[in-house]
Amino acid sequence: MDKQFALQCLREALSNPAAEFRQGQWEAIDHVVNARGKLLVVQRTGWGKSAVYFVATRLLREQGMGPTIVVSPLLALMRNQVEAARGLSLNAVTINSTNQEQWNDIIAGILEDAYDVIFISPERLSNEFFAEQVLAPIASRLGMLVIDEAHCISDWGHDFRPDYRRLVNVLRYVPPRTPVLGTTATANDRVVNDVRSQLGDVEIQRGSLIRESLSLENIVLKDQASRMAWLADFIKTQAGTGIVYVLTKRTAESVAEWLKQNGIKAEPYYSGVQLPNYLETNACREYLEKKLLTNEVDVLVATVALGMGYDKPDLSFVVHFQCPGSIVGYYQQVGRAGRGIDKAIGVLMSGSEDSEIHEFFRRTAFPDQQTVKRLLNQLSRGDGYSTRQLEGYFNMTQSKLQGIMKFLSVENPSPVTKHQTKWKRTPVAYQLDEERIERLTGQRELEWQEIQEYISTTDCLMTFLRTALDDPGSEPCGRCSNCRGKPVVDMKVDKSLVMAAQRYLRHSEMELVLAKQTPKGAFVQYEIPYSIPRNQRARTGRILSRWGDAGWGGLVKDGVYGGRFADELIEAAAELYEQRWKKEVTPQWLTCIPSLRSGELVPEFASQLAARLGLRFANVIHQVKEHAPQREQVNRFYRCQNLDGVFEVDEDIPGGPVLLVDDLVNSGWTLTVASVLLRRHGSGEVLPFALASMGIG
Amino acid sequence: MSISLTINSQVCLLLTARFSQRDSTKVLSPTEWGTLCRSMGGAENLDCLLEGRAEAVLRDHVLKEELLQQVLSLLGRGVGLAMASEKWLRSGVWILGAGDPEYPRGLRDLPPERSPPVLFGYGSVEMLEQSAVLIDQRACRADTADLAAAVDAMRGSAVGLLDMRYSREVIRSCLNIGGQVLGVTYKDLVSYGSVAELRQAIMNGSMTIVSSRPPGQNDQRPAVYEETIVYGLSDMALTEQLIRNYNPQESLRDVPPTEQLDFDF
Repeated sequence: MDKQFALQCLREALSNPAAEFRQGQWEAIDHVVNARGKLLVVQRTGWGKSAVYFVATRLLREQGMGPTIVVSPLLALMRNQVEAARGLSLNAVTINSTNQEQWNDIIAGILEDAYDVIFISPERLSNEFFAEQVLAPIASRLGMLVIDEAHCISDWGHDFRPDYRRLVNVLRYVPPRTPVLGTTATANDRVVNDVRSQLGDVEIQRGSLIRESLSLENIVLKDQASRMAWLADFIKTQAGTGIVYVLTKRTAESVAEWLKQNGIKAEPYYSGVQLPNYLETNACREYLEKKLLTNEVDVLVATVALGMGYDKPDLSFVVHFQCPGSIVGYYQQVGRAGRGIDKAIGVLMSGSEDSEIHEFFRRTAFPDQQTVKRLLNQLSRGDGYSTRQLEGYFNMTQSKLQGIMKFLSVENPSPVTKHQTKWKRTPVAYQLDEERIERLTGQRELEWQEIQEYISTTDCLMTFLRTALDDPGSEPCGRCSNCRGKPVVDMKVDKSLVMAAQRYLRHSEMELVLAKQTPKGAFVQYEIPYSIPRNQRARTGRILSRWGDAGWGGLVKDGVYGGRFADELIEAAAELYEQRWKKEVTPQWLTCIPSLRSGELVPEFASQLAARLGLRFANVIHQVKEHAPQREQVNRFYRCQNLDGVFEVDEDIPGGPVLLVDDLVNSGWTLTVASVLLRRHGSGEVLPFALASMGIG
Repeated sequence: MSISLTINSQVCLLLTARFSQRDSTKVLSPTEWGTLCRSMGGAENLDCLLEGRAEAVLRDHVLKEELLQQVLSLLGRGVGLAMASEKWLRSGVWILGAGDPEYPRGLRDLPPERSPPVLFGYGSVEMLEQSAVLIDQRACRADTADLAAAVDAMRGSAVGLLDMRYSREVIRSCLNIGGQVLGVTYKDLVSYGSVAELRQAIMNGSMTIVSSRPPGQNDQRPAVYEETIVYGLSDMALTEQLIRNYNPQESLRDVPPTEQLDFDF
């Protein structure tokens, strides 16, 4: 296929008869179409990577090849691309969880050669059911394979994603003379070399990564309230829309709500986000992506879930409320801004909590050898176990178990395989590659140090990013705060707004909903049935703060370590109780959870709170035997079993509704058990209350 | 064994394998496969079809146009092959193409239309070349435990169809006394591999399971190659010696090697 025909296709696609290929575009097309080769394209966002695979697809289809399959990480991007493909007379389709009812028609269409391009996500690709039902019948028909955001297939990519690991294995088995195109805007030499070693005979095409529209700025504000205050002021002064990146779902919710209270149209966005009227989280995400695309919101407060592929050419700012874990991650996210406009702003803020959160992410990213060994031994004892069944053998949360099984299932060869709902052991002798895990964890630590250097550098910020990404040309940008010698944005923080943010954070209590069902066989002594009787269940309670957070969580932490809770916490709890907790019943007395370990810490707080609220304090629950710390029990069964027979309640207790107080809550089983015991001994409704939640959110 | 896929395995899979039970691609029939192998001078010479000049090479070897076009079309299934191979190899299965050096001699020496283009297996590949006694109820109906003990006494291994009651029982008996066995199946290899008893035997090196069918394709279509594999992997001299110990009047030569096997057990 000659260049002239390809150029004609490009002009058709762009509806521009004068369009020319950008540097490298034709070479990329030529490599996959005429040489049937493998190619990794590293080009900045907006260079026209999708034009390459669309034109290449058109040419391959002319040669009689089957449709192209594009593995793309974002639903919204897929939908945009389906539209874009039409410009080139290509019939594109996306197969994902939101159009399940159309799968059979789509499969039939592919088998009849009705589609030219098929978009799927890496998560779909690695889903066994999807692979069997959808991909298997059409696999023989596929022509070219395109991997969008291909840096993810590298061990050194900025995010360890099991689904991409499986994709790596697919790529390893692509035979010679099969066109494969990987595209990315964020790959340094180490990532590129790793991709090359994974794919064998892959060609690399690298362009300049400079973003000429982007002005960068770093702001260090350790406390969250100051950052929230600055953020609200900053967004109000921006004419365009933007994204605020945070590290956790809980922060996404909290910051979005704060911005809303300040008159900014903001929504939280993360994996699993829920909205009223939307049953399915993917539909919620789609809705939110669209709202930002159409400027119906000013800002999305997002986790990394909105990292890759989101394309809004007029996005005018990206602010990081918390620091990302690496330069490549940062470049990827800040690069969402200013693609199709002349000026955009990227601000990286960092705070005191960042380091702890990233340390947690690193620590929990991989399973340990001992756990894997025990898990595989258990699987070897039978012909299949569900995750729920495995929970009974391991002191581990269901999500942790699922994470380990997922990790093991993408190993190649894998020691486990899934048949419907059951995990089975394969005859593969397996040893966890601890060296690799150590290497990757070490690399993550180095990346964290590198982004700390970025925060404190006095050199050109864009040059720092480009150098870290091994971009060959790295002249100063002239637009960042360091090049200009003055801030890109107004750095002032309104003190009254900081105080308002502090108040907001201190009012960020959470609902406390205790379990209604127990794991079978966990409460032998208490004989609590699987379904807790309605008249023994607690009402919805409240948690004042999150452990260590910027609201009251820090004071709670100080109190636990110092052996006494500050008086401010009594006032805070009382204020919550009296002013913001709409109770269905009014407690007439107050009691608390005892602890042999922490002694008088909780009873002392509880009695003071009772006095402040004018309630009678009755210390009626007693711990009658030692038990392992509840925080060491990580799945339902073990948590419950650990509490069986631990508490006793006095025979003669006050009647009427009771406020049940504890200091820290994780799964809530202690409060659940205490509620059941109180009700059995004649108390009225139980309203549970805890000072802090231990979940990371 | 390291999990990898040779170029030869890839060519053989592209030309002859369906990538899933629901894949309806018209792959080469045993006759077409035989014709291609003969034209190219053997399965080991097919690697060049993935080197970039497939059409010219095929024309040089005077292939009929219809077969040539079919081969070219099948070679274009690279993406599908990669997806299928990933799944197969992830489950720990190894794959041997008919032109791979490890492909067993006993099968390589057969006419290409009779030997399977691809072998899938669990366990030791080396076991495919060991002397193995054929277990076939038409040849010998000795008590399964006795037969297993006799095989063990001869320091040989046993090879038989895992899907047939008699041979399966002998295989079980062999495993129970610590013997070595080669099980051949036309059913799903991965399902067998996850049965605790067999998985343990594979992992401790006392069992190898082989099939010509890709993992996960557990249909009831007639097994084209499995009987050939059983016979091809067996040592006839050793088998006859064993049979004489039990049925002096009976000889393997009286038994047609490719017919009359009953798969219904």
